[in-house]
Amino acid sequence: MSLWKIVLKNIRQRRLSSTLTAASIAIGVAIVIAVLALRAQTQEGFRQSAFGYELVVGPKRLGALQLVLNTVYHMETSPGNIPWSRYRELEAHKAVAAAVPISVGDSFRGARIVGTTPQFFTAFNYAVDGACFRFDPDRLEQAMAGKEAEGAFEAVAGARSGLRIGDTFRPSHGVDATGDAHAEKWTVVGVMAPTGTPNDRAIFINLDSFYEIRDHRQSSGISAVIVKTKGGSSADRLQYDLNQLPDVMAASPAAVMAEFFGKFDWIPLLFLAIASLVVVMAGVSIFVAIYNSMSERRRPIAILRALGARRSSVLAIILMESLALCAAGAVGGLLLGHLLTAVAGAALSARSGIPMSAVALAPEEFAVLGGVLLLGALAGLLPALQAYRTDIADGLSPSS
Amino acid sequence: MSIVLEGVRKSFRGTPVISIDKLDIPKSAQWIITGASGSGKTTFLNLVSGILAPDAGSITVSGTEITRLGEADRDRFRARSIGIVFQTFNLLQGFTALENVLLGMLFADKVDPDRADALLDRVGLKDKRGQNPDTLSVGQQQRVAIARALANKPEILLADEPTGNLDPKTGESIIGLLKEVCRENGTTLLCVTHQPQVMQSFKDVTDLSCLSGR
Repeated sequence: MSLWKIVLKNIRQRRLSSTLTAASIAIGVAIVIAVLALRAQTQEGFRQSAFGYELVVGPKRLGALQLVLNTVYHMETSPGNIPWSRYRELEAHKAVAAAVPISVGDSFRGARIVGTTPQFFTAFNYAVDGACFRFDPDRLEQAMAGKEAEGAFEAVAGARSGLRIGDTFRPSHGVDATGDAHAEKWTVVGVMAPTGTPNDRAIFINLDSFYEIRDHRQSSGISAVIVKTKGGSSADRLQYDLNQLPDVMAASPAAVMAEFFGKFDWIPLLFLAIASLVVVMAGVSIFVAIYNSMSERRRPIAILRALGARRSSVLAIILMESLALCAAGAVGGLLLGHLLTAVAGAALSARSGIPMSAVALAPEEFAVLGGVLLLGALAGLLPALQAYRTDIADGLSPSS
Repeated sequence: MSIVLEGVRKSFRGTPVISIDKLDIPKSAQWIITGASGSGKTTFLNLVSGILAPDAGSITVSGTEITRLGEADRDRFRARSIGIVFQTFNLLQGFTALENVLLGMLFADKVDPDRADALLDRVGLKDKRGQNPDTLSVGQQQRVAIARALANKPEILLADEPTGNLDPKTGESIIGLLKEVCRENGTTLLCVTHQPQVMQSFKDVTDLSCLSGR
């Protein structure tokens, strides 16, 4: 027998209201947890993915956001090209350390086909920690040679493209794989190690082989050029200069995504506010449930006091009950929140290519749990003080 | 454990209820406390148990003047030295018979399930240990209450109209049980009642109305 046992008995005696109040806390906490996790992981995922690319250069008629989404995140359709000559100019520019052309427009089972050069895999770090693309260099050379082997071109597949070495595929026109399949067939000769970027869902082929596809002509240009500068202020200057040209535009993926998230940050904040309100209302319902039960608890409290329980003990019992309900709701909400993150994250990941983890704990989650426990303490405080003030003799009198 | 009350006064909203100049209850005594309605019988028990503090006077239990203790110390004194049996049993619903007995040990910091089992055995309810009070007869409920009152090995057992809700036969057996277990443990028994048949079974009967000069 312990105070906790008394608390659990009290909760069990009010099973329905206890379950409902804990469940409402859990729902609120789950939404908060899921929004926090998805928001943090989405921003971090997009930030990580944008990191390696200092500048992307594409056709003028694209907006900066569409250019970045198309080039870096393999989203949206490719609405046009820039002249091949612009790539050559960039390659030769004194401020440029590396310029990598990419051409897109086809896909296979939702995975974007990217025509590029081997430099794509060696010129950039794909993550903040400086990670580079990793796979067998021989395979890279083989694949990027674009040679025809037994009637098939060769390709390197991203880790989450669904392809394995030896698989063959025919690209379809468009990004949703509903277009007509091209006649040309590729064989996967290498699979990249996971990078945690949208490139994991892409399939890379040599740019030359890309132009072997019927209707694809080098003379029509390339989709974009990814640029790495020599550092200093050269990136800003180069971006400014490029944006003065009539047919191309340059954008910094990191800056574009920061602006994008800045514009829409109110959406997760709105969700957080609504979820917080749900949690607070659940806290109020805990208060109401316990407060309303205090008249029927008067005698049991007086009995405990007659048995020698101190005022502080009966105060603790009520506070512990409120805290236990909130803690149960918080733990349930934590689990439910991560389940929500898994479901919503899978859907987001499928659309964006940004990997989402359902098990990663955001630091804010601990603050949420702390906040819920504080709410539990506040909700139980007034009824607990009532219990503290219970007069034993009055509580035991026959009229009580 | 002897109990000495000296110059004890207690009033409620200006109405004097208890006025005892001197009362000395020897260790292991078995006393009936009686009196007319409103004579302060329950108040008397509440004063001895430390639930209430007197307006004046002193109550000394085995050399310790409990009227000098603060409320928390009186709670501890009650948890360790006092057992109480109520007219309405006051068992906690939702707790089994065994758990109700364990509650009697909790605040004395000596929770001992084996002893609780033995007490239920002593009051003849060993096979009812897992049952909730509302599934027991009133006589059985009062037996559980007696086991709970003895749980903390009290030196004083206070019984407030313990047979008030029982039929005469059950009441007689409960009084017999109370006297027996108190004798076995050397526990002082103060039993409040106004029932003549209960009074007849005790040698020492104190009328509070007379004691308070009313």
